[in-house]
Amino acid sequence: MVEDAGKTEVVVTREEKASGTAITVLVLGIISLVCCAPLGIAAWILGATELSDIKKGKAPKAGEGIAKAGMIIGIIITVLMVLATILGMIVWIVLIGIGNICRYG
Amino acid sequence: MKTVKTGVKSEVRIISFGIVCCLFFVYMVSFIVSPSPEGIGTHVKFFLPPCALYKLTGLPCPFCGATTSFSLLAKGEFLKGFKANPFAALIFTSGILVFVYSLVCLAAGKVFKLDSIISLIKRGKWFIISALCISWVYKVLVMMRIF
Repeated sequence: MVEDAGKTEVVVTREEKASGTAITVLVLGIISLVCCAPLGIAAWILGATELSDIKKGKAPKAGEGIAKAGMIIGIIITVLMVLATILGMIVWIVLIGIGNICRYG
Repeated sequence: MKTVKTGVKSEVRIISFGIVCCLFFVYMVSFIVSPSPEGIGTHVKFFLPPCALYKLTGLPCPFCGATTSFSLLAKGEFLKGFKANPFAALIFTSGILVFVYSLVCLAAGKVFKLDSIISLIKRGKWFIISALCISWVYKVLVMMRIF
Protein backbone atom coordinates (compact mmCIF):
# COMPACT_ATOMS: atom_id res chain seq x y z
CA MET A 1 0.00 0.00 0.00
CA VAL A 2 1.53 3.33 -1.06
CA GLU A 3 0.38 6.65 0.48
CA ASP A 4 1.11 9.77 -1.57
CA ALA A 5 -0.36 13.25 -0.60
CA GLY A 6 -3.56 11.88 0.85
CA LYS A 7 -4.14 9.41 -1.99
CA THR A 8 -3.97 5.77 -1.24
CA GLU A 9 -2.78 3.51 -4.00
CA VAL A 10 -2.92 -0.20 -3.62
CA VAL A 11 -0.13 -1.94 -5.51
CA VAL A 12 -1.00 -5.52 -6.23
CA THR A 13 1.83 -7.72 -7.37
CA ARG A 14 0.73 -11.09 -8.66
CA GLU A 15 3.23 -13.84 -8.04
CA GLU A 16 3.93 -15.65 -11.30
CA LYS A 17 3.92 -19.40 -11.00
CA ALA A 18 5.71 -21.89 -13.20
CA SER A 19 3.47 -23.65 -15.71
CA GLY A 20 2.45 -27.28 -15.38
CA THR A 21 4.54 -28.19 -18.42
CA ALA A 22 7.70 -26.75 -16.83
CA ILE A 23 7.10 -28.82 -13.68
CA THR A 24 6.37 -31.89 -15.86
CA VAL A 25 9.73 -31.37 -17.61
CA LEU A 26 11.60 -31.38 -14.29
CA VAL A 27 9.67 -34.40 -13.00
CA LEU A 28 10.39 -36.31 -16.23
CA GLY A 29 14.06 -35.33 -15.99
CA ILE A 30 14.33 -36.59 -12.41
CA ILE A 31 12.46 -39.84 -13.21
CA SER A 32 14.79 -40.41 -16.18
CA LEU A 33 17.78 -39.87 -13.89
CA VAL A 34 16.51 -42.21 -11.16
CA CYS A 35 14.83 -45.13 -12.89
CA CYS A 36 13.68 -44.77 -16.51
CA ALA A 37 16.34 -43.32 -18.82
CA PRO A 38 14.23 -43.17 -22.04
CA LEU A 39 11.97 -40.56 -20.38
CA GLY A 40 14.95 -38.20 -20.79
CA ILE A 41 13.95 -37.85 -24.46
CA ALA A 42 10.48 -36.66 -23.39
CA ALA A 43 12.05 -34.21 -20.89
CA TRP A 44 14.32 -32.88 -23.65
CA ILE A 45 11.53 -32.35 -26.20
CA LEU A 46 9.01 -30.93 -23.72
CA GLY A 47 11.70 -28.70 -22.18
CA ALA A 48 12.67 -27.30 -25.58
CA THR A 49 9.04 -26.50 -26.47
CA GLU A 50 8.41 -24.94 -23.04
CA LEU A 51 11.51 -22.74 -23.30
CA SER A 52 10.49 -21.57 -26.79
CA ASP A 53 7.00 -20.80 -25.42
CA ILE A 54 8.57 -18.78 -22.56
CA LYS A 55 10.67 -16.84 -25.09
CA LYS A 56 7.55 -16.07 -27.14
CA GLY A 57 5.70 -14.99 -23.98
CA LYS A 58 3.15 -17.83 -24.23
CA ALA A 59 4.27 -19.40 -20.92
CA PRO A 60 5.18 -17.77 -17.55
CA LYS A 61 8.82 -16.79 -17.16
CA ALA A 62 8.92 -18.26 -13.65
CA GLY A 63 9.17 -21.74 -15.15
CA GLU A 64 12.31 -20.99 -17.16
CA GLY A 65 14.79 -22.29 -14.58
CA ILE A 66 12.76 -25.41 -13.84
CA ALA A 67 12.27 -26.20 -17.53
CA LYS A 68 15.94 -25.56 -18.27
CA ALA A 69 17.05 -27.85 -15.40
CA GLY A 70 14.70 -30.65 -16.53
CA MET A 71 15.80 -30.27 -20.13
CA ILE A 72 19.51 -30.38 -19.26
CA ILE A 73 19.00 -33.56 -17.19
CA GLY A 74 17.03 -35.00 -20.14
CA ILE A 75 19.79 -34.15 -22.63
CA ILE A 76 22.54 -35.66 -20.43
CA ILE A 77 20.55 -38.86 -19.78
CA THR A 78 19.56 -39.22 -23.46
CA VAL A 79 23.12 -38.75 -24.72
CA LEU A 80 24.50 -41.21 -22.14
CA MET A 81 21.74 -43.73 -22.92
CA VAL A 82 22.29 -43.53 -26.69
CA LEU A 83 26.08 -43.85 -26.31
CA ALA A 84 25.74 -46.79 -23.90
CA THR A 85 23.25 -48.54 -26.21
CA ILE A 86 25.39 -48.08 -29.33
CA LEU A 87 28.52 -49.21 -27.47
CA GLY A 88 26.65 -52.21 -26.01
CA MET A 89 25.32 -53.21 -29.44
CA ILE A 90 28.77 -52.94 -31.03
CA VAL A 91 30.38 -55.02 -28.25
CA TRP A 92 27.55 -57.58 -28.56
CA ILE A 93 28.05 -57.86 -32.34
CA VAL A 94 31.84 -58.20 -31.91
CA LEU A 95 31.36 -60.94 -29.28
CA ILE A 96 28.94 -62.80 -31.57
CA GLY A 97 31.50 -62.54 -34.37
CA ILE A 98 34.30 -63.87 -32.13
CA GLY A 99 31.99 -66.67 -30.94
CA ASN A 100 31.24 -67.71 -34.52
CA ILE A 101 34.93 -67.63 -35.45
CA CYS A 102 35.79 -69.83 -32.43
CA ARG A 103 32.93 -72.25 -33.22
CA TYR A 104 33.59 -72.67 -36.94
CA GLY A 105 37.34 -71.99 -36.97
CA MET B 1 28.34 -18.45 -65.25
CA LYS B 2 27.61 -21.91 -63.94
CA THR B 3 26.96 -22.48 -60.26
CA VAL B 4 28.46 -25.58 -58.74
CA LYS B 5 25.93 -27.39 -56.52
CA THR B 6 27.96 -30.53 -55.89
CA GLY B 7 29.09 -29.48 -52.39
CA VAL B 8 25.55 -28.75 -51.20
CA LYS B 9 24.16 -31.97 -52.68
CA SER B 10 26.86 -34.13 -51.13
CA GLU B 11 26.28 -32.47 -47.74
CA VAL B 12 22.55 -33.16 -48.04
CA ARG B 13 23.28 -36.76 -49.00
CA ILE B 14 25.63 -37.23 -46.02
CA ILE B 15 22.80 -36.36 -43.57
CA SER B 16 20.38 -38.77 -45.27
CA PHE B 17 23.09 -41.43 -45.48
CA GLY B 18 23.84 -41.07 -41.77
CA ILE B 19 20.17 -41.48 -40.83
CA VAL B 20 19.78 -44.49 -43.16
CA CYS B 21 22.88 -46.13 -41.64
CA CYS B 22 21.77 -45.51 -38.03
CA LEU B 23 18.26 -46.88 -38.62
CA PHE B 24 19.60 -49.84 -40.63
CA PHE B 25 21.97 -50.67 -37.75
CA VAL B 26 19.11 -50.52 -35.22
CA TYR B 27 16.80 -52.72 -37.34
CA MET B 28 19.60 -55.15 -38.17
CA VAL B 29 20.52 -55.60 -34.49
CA SER B 30 16.80 -55.95 -33.63
CA PHE B 31 16.52 -58.71 -36.22
CA ILE B 32 19.61 -60.58 -34.99
CA VAL B 33 18.97 -60.42 -31.23
CA SER B 34 16.65 -63.05 -29.80
CA PRO B 35 13.80 -61.56 -27.76
CA SER B 36 13.50 -62.32 -24.05
CA PRO B 37 10.70 -64.85 -23.42
CA GLU B 38 9.53 -62.85 -20.34
CA GLY B 39 8.65 -59.89 -22.57
CA ILE B 40 11.18 -57.57 -20.94
CA GLY B 41 14.93 -57.45 -20.46
CA THR B 42 16.24 -58.07 -23.98
CA HIS B 43 18.41 -54.94 -23.67
CA VAL B 44 20.44 -56.64 -20.90
CA LYS B 45 22.17 -58.57 -23.72
CA PHE B 46 23.71 -55.24 -24.79
CA PHE B 47 25.36 -54.92 -21.36
CA LEU B 48 22.81 -52.30 -20.26
CA PRO B 49 21.50 -52.37 -16.68
CA PRO B 50 18.08 -53.94 -16.00
CA CYS B 51 15.13 -51.62 -15.38
CA ALA B 52 15.51 -50.07 -11.91
CA LEU B 53 11.75 -49.48 -11.49
CA TYR B 54 10.97 -53.12 -12.30
CA LYS B 55 13.69 -54.35 -9.95
CA LEU B 56 12.50 -52.15 -7.10
CA THR B 57 8.72 -52.34 -7.44
CA GLY B 58 7.98 -55.24 -9.78
CA LEU B 59 6.11 -52.82 -12.03
CA PRO B 60 7.39 -52.22 -15.57
CA CYS B 61 8.46 -48.72 -16.63
CA PRO B 62 6.87 -47.15 -19.76
CA PHE B 63 9.74 -48.41 -21.91
CA CYS B 64 10.01 -51.93 -20.48
CA GLY B 65 9.74 -54.39 -23.33
CA ALA B 66 10.75 -51.87 -26.00
CA THR B 67 13.82 -53.82 -27.14
CA THR B 68 11.81 -57.06 -27.05
CA SER B 69 9.10 -55.38 -29.11
CA PHE B 70 11.65 -54.13 -31.68
CA SER B 71 13.15 -57.60 -31.91
CA LEU B 72 9.76 -59.29 -32.41
CA LEU B 73 8.60 -56.69 -34.94
CA ALA B 74 11.86 -56.99 -36.92
CA LYS B 75 11.25 -60.75 -37.11
CA GLY B 76 7.71 -60.18 -38.43
CA GLU B 77 5.86 -61.17 -35.25
CA PHE B 78 3.68 -58.07 -35.23
CA LEU B 79 1.05 -59.04 -32.65
CA LYS B 80 3.63 -60.26 -30.12
CA GLY B 81 5.69 -57.15 -30.78
CA PHE B 82 2.69 -54.92 -30.17
CA LYS B 83 1.87 -56.80 -26.96
CA ALA B 84 5.45 -56.46 -25.70
CA ASN B 85 5.24 -52.66 -25.83
CA PRO B 86 2.64 -50.81 -27.96
CA PHE B 87 4.54 -47.51 -27.79
CA ALA B 88 7.71 -49.18 -29.08
CA ALA B 89 5.63 -50.55 -31.97
CA LEU B 90 4.62 -46.96 -32.76
CA ILE B 91 8.28 -45.86 -32.68
CA PHE B 92 9.26 -48.86 -34.84
CA THR B 93 6.66 -47.93 -37.48
CA SER B 94 7.64 -44.24 -37.38
CA GLY B 95 11.28 -45.29 -37.74
CA ILE B 96 10.45 -47.28 -40.89
CA LEU B 97 8.69 -44.23 -42.35
CA VAL B 98 11.73 -42.05 -41.56
CA PHE B 99 14.00 -44.76 -43.05
CA VAL B 100 12.00 -44.80 -46.33
CA TYR B 101 11.89 -40.98 -46.40
CA SER B 102 15.65 -40.69 -45.89
CA LEU B 103 16.24 -43.35 -48.56
CA VAL B 104 14.15 -41.30 -51.02
CA CYS B 105 16.07 -38.15 -50.01
CA LEU B 106 19.36 -40.02 -50.48
CA ALA B 107 18.38 -41.33 -53.91
CA ALA B 108 16.92 -38.07 -55.19
CA GLY B 109 19.47 -35.78 -53.51
CA LYS B 110 16.67 -33.91 -51.72
CA VAL B 111 17.07 -32.07 -48.42
CA PHE B 112 16.15 -34.20 -45.41
CA LYS B 113 13.74 -31.90 -43.58
CA LEU B 114 14.75 -32.66 -40.02
CA ASP B 115 13.17 -29.38 -38.84
CA SER B 116 9.73 -30.42 -40.08
CA ILE B 117 10.06 -33.81 -38.31
CA ILE B 118 11.05 -32.04 -35.06
CA SER B 119 8.16 -29.57 -35.37
CA LEU B 120 5.81 -32.50 -36.06
CA ILE B 121 7.01 -34.14 -32.80
CA LYS B 122 6.59 -30.81 -30.95
CA ARG B 123 3.05 -30.32 -32.30
CA GLY B 124 2.07 -33.86 -31.44
CA LYS B 125 3.72 -33.89 -28.01
CA TRP B 126 0.48 -34.45 -26.07
CA PHE B 127 -0.52 -37.26 -28.44
CA ILE B 128 2.88 -38.89 -27.90
CA ILE B 129 2.65 -38.52 -24.10
CA SER B 130 -0.92 -39.91 -24.09
CA ALA B 131 0.15 -42.85 -26.27
CA LEU B 132 3.06 -43.50 -23.89
CA CYS B 133 0.74 -43.46 -20.84
CA ILE B 134 -1.84 -45.77 -22.49
CA SER B 135 0.95 -48.12 -23.55
CA TRP B 136 2.33 -48.13 -20.00
CA VAL B 137 -1.06 -48.95 -18.47
CA TYR B 138 -1.47 -51.76 -21.03
CA LYS B 139 2.00 -53.12 -20.22
CA VAL B 140 1.28 -53.05 -16.47
CA LEU B 141 -2.00 -54.91 -17.03
CA VAL B 142 -0.23 -57.48 -19.23
CA MET B 143 2.48 -57.99 -16.59
CA MET B 144 -0.22 -58.41 -13.91
CA ARG B 145 -1.80 -61.02 -16.21
CA ILE B 146 -5.08 -59.10 -16.40
CA PHE B 147 -4.79 -59.10 -20.22
